This record gives sequence, structure tokens and C-alpha cells, in this order.
Amino acid sequence: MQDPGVPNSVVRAAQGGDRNAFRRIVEAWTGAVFGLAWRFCFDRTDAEDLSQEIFLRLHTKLGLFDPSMPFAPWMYRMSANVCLNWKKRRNPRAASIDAMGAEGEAYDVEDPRDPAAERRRAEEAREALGRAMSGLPDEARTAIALRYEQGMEVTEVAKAMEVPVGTVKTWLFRARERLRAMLAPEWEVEK
Amino acid sequence: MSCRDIRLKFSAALDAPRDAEDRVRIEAHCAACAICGPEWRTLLRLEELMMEAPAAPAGFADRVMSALPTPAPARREIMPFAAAGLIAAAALVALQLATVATATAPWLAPVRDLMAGLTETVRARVASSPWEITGWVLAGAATIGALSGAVMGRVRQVVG
Ligand SMILES: [Zn+2]
Repeated sequence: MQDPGVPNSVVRAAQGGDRNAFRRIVEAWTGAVFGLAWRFCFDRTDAEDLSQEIFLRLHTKLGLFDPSMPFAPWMYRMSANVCLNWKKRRNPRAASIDAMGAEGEAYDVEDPRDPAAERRRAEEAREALGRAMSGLPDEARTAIALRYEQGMEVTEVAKAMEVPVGTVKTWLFRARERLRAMLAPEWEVEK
Repeated sequence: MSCRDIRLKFSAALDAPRDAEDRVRIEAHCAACAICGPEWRTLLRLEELMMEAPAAPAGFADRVMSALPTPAPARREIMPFAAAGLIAAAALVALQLATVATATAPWLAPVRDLMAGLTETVRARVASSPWEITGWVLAGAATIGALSGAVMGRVRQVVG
């Protein structure tokens, strides 16, 4: 488990209302939570909002955590659930599809060595990935987001999702197959 | 391995170490195969994009902490202020009662004498050093003001 290493004594103190202890959890987990949130939306502003939402949820749900259990799998599971249920306040995806349609033609005549064009292409690739990810079934989406969050092992993903390793492998297989099928035409890697 | 077998092993190979036997075989096959090669390269590109993530902005923990609901102060924090207020109110009432009572009841004459003595002392002090007395009165007023301000602050926190 990619465990940011908050001792359970600190978690217990935070459960008792100690704000400094809660802050220690936030500081230790910011990287992991932000990384996971990013893999659900691929947008910096959304990832910030989503990460904040995760910590606010942690604040209200922390009392439900059993401190005799390891904290990291519980925290990852809770975070992934917030990500899955998070409803965007705005909807830039729909707008960005239109924008891409218009700008896509212009890119064809751009110099491929132009760094600004390269950045735009990377941005487009990420947006396409974000759209494809949001089209996955919840389990497959969670599995692949956790798998690439700090290079988590398949066994660690299984622990966080409370399912057998074989099940995670199946979800990862499906996630990759579907993402590949959706992204191949957009990325034009397979031509 | 057939092309189909190769593609079925793509996902497992991505989760295996780079030097795992199957992965090495897949890499070799895909370098030459026009069908499997592009699919494998799309998966590698997907993996590359999934790996990279920006860092959280600086000061993010501060932002989270300030978004948390303000905790209600524990009751024991309010108690000293409430107790001080009650004692002060009780003392004022007692003083008023004593003043009224000593004005009439003859059996309270010693108390009346004591009060008169105190009043006389205070009057003498005012006459001899009026600025000192003014200082004491101002200090008293400031203390009461600060105390009631603190009490009202706590009350507002609890109510709001
Ligand atoms: Zn092949």
C-alpha cells in the first residue's frame, strides 16, 4: 500500500476532535489524494475541488473508521468513492469537445516541433483520456486510477477495493481494453 | 504465441516487471507485428499519461483547514466566564440589599457603621487623591468590559 504513513495514534487524536492531528493527516495525504483526484478528472482545478471535497468528507466520516485497522486502504476507498460520486459544478467537457473540433483542423498545418503545439496536443490527449475514463464502469475506473496512483501494486489495489487480486486484474484488463479502443482513433497511434 | 494470445497478455504484462519473460516476448512480437504493435503502443501511451500527475498546489492544507467547519468550544471553556458573571451579579444584588436593609433595621447598626466607615474612607481618598480613584474606576470598567466582551464572544460562537 502506498501509505503516506500517518500513525493510527494521530488518526485517533483527529477522531477525538484534535485539529492539529487532522492537519497532519491532510498534509501527509495531500499528494496521494490529489493524485487520485487528478486521475478521475484530468483537470487541475477540478482535481483541487475534488481533493478538498475528499478531505471535507474525511472530516465528517473519520468517526466511522476503526482505528484497530490500517488507515491507508480505508482512506483510499473513501477517496475513490468521493471521486466516483462527485458531480462537476460546471461542464467544460462538452464545451471542450466543440472547441477541439474547430481547432483540430488548425493543428494539422502547425509545425510539429512547435513547443506550444506540443503542449496543446498533450492537453488534448489528457482531455480525451478524461472523457474515456468517465465512460468506464465504476470498478474498472477505480481500479485503474488506484493502480497508477503512485504506481500502486495490483495487490495493493485489491486491498483498497476489498476484492481478490484476480478481480482487480480482470477490471484492469477491461479498463485498458476499453480505454485503448476509445483513445486509439483520437490519438492516432494505431494508424 | 499467436497474435490473439499476445493481446490477451497485454494487461498482465503492463503490471509485471519490465524484464518479466512474457513482457520481453510481447515487446519483441509487437516490434515486428503490424496488428499488435500499434495496440501495444497505444497502451504504453495510456500508461505514460496515467502515470503523470501534477503536484498539489502550495498551501493546499491551509485551504482545506480553513474550509473545515469551526468547532463549537467545549462547555468547560465557557464555564469560568459564566461563573464570574453570576458571582458579580450576586455580589451587586447583595450590596443593594445590604444598603436598603442597613438604612432601616436597628439590629444592623454595626453593618451600617461599617458601610459608613467604608464610604467615609472612600470619600477621604477621593478628596486626597482623586486621580488614583479615577484610575481604579477606569480599570474596573475596563475589566468588566473585557469580561462581558469575552462572554458575548463565546455566546455568539455557540449560537452561531
Ligand atoms: Zn501480432
